Amino acid sequence: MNAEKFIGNLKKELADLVSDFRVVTTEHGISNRKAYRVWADTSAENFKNVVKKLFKIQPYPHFSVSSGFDAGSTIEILLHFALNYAKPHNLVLFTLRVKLPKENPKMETITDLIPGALIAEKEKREFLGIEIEGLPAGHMFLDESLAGVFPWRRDEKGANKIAKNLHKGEPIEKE
Amino acid sequence: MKKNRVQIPIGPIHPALKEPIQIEVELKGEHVENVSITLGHVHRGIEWIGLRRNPVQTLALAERVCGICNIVHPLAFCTAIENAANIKVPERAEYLRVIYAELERIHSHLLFLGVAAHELGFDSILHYTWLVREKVLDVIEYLTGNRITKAILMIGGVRRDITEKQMPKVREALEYYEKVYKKLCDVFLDDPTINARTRDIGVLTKKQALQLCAVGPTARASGIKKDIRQDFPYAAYADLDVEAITPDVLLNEIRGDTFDRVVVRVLEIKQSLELIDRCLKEMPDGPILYEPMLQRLLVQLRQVAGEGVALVEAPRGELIHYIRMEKSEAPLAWKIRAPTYANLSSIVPMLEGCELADVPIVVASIDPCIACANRAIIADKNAVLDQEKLHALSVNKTRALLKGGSK
Amino acid sequence: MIELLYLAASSFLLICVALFIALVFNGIERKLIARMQARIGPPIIQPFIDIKKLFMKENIVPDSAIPWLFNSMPAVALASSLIVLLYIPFAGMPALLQNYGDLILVLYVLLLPSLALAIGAFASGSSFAGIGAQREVVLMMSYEFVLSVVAISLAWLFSLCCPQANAFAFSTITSKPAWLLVGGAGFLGLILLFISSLAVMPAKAGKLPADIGEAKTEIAEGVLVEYSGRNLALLYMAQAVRVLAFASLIVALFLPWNLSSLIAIPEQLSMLADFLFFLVKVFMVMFASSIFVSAVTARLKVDQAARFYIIVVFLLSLLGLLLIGIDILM
Repeated sequence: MNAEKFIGNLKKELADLVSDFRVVTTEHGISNRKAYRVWADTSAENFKNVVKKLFKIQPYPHFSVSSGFDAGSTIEILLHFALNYAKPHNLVLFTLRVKLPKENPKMETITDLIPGALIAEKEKREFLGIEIEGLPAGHMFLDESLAGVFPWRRDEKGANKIAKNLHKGEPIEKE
Repeated sequence: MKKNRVQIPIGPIHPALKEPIQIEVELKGEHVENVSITLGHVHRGIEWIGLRRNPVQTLALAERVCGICNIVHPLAFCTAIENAANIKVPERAEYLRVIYAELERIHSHLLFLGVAAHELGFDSILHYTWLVREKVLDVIEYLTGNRITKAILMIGGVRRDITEKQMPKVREALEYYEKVYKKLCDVFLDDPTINARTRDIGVLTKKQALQLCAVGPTARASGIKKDIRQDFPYAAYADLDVEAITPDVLLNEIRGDTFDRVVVRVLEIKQSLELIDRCLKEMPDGPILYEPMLQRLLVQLRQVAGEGVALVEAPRGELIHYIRMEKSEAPLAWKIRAPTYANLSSIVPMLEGCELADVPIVVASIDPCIACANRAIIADKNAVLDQEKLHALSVNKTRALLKGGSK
Repeated sequence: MIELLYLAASSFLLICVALFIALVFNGIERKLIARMQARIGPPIIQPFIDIKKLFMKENIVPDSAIPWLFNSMPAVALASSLIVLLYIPFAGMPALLQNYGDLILVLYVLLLPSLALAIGAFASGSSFAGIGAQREVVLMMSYEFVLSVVAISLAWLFSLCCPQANAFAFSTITSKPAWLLVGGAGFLGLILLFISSLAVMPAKAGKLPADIGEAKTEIAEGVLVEYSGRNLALLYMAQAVRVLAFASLIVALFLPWNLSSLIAIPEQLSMLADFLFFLVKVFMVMFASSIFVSAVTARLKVDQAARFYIIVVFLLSLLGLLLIGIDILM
């Protein structure tokens, strides 16, 4: 299936679940071949259904990673999927945006659908303080002593200073 | 812990895995029963730092994400910014990017082959592969001025062109590797001890690879024809029609074991040689930078409001950078996902049913790259070489290479 | 009494010379392997430098160790590997203690260094060392069969040709090269026995492809992981001497010729010539069985190595025994 047709299917399939469905193309090389990037927004309630829908048009959707950042009043989580892969020049890079409220950032795990999402979800939990329902406990990146500090937050919970010379026993400032 | 179980920590300090990662293996006799992975021993907060600098400064940072993949990280970073800012890169620059990226792939795969041999205790091959790797490093130094941190990519293009005068040296290196390639095939594909240690060890089935979102040679060795260079047009790969290499090309079967992962990388060296050769021949003339004036570029980037995402095939697999610009000096968000991050979860099914002796080679077979940095002080007879002297020596060597001297 | 003193003095001298030779050979081996791997390699006196350094270093005993066992085993390992040399014909001369022990004793004493290494590793309380020790013991059990078959075959051969003497004694075995006592089938059998003894060398010496107990990239030097300072120096020397002892044993069993008996050499030089010729023979054996092999192989897993020794090498040696038997009985 070529990318254009795939994007058509994707749009049809996700019509009631996402908003702001955008297709961005860039051209590369002498042949000006197009690379397709698709962006879409969804809500915290709907996002798991979107992921489930992806399975309909792409067996084993490839979950690349989820990005996340503190956008002031909300925390934005972006799930990057590589769809329609293993077909020359027709990959569709699909990015699904979920906006979570700052006070109570909470989302469901997708590791039951895509086991490969485990590390990314743990990272979001440790770095942004997002509660992920159904994800096993345990730290993967940050030391337990840093619990309560979420380095990527831009508010009082974030890290405002990089600790240097930890080996000399300088205390880590929690700000 | 049950009585007949032994817990063995592999890493963060272990002669097999000189990488800041801890793999805790629970053993029953020699058999692996349980595996758990801990990361973050050297979390340097690169993304955090990057959010406090302008994109051109951050480019230097992106290059230092990894000591080996320091073309593909800036490449992904630049592509993401170009995507956000709608910058069209000149065609010649796109070809140059491919050449640098493929040279890096050769160097990275040779490095891997050496490491794999070392994990098996086969140090003669370690020294051989790392000896032949010097040639590609020399070419990289000759073209970019640096062995490792190449500082060659720029937002909107590349910093340095490959001139007609430089071509013969690159061609000579390609010919050298054509010869070496045959020997590498001999060594890795036919050696009985390597076979005994890697065949049917650390199997990752196609289904597991798909579920765990494995990328790069790890996924291809399990029979998934995923290769970003083939799937997703970026740089000049849009013109090159790369084909994803799976082990059945050579062996007529796919087992998804450690041997397959080695085979894929050996074959990809050949593929990279062909790609470089094609690029050298087909490279169009033209500018190599979208905007040579740095100040003007920075002003333009400061106006950008938008987001970009880039997929790049690093030597270890799919690399993704996401960037969000919000009309300010520094980006609002930057996310790097290196291929090892995606491949790490594949280690667990691979290690199931293995023996302790298999753990290092199986872990090494995904070619884990947990970034590392080095400072060398070499005692040369009586004189200790400090940073200044080392720097002077390396500058001299680069000049010698540029002049055309052999060493 | 004087005889005893003379024996003690010459034993001491022999031990010193053997230790020196073992370390020089170790240095040459490291240099050769480095050259085969396109490296420059350390100077030949590097083992001496290493040992000097190790003796200056602190000797650390882990908290979890049993100190007396942990500390005594390196000395046992070195002592037992040195003592073996007193029973084996060394440097073209008959063995110093040839009247006090025979081939069977030598095989047993040659086991002691590996055993001491394993016991010391178990006593260290480290899990890496524990796994290394297990592997060492498994390996030991698999190659000892081969050596017993070799010993039995040779003893059988010599018991027929010299019925009045002790067939296991080195004085008997070295009296005539075994090759001259047999016909075609027996000659082939002896070749097989020779090959199987050479194949045991890597395991005895702890070299690739059978350095499984140490396995640097798997269990971080395994049996040696907790040893440091003086203890490590002793183990290092024990390792080097053990290689020399085993190589001398192979030379004594299969290559007993002396240079002075082959070509005419002035009387006063014959001892020196025999000595040098012996060193050449030992080095050839070491090169063929350990140095060259370790440069061209990967490390085997313990089950693969055990299978190799129990099935391939053991069957090879049995075949050798059978051929010799055919030769004798026909």
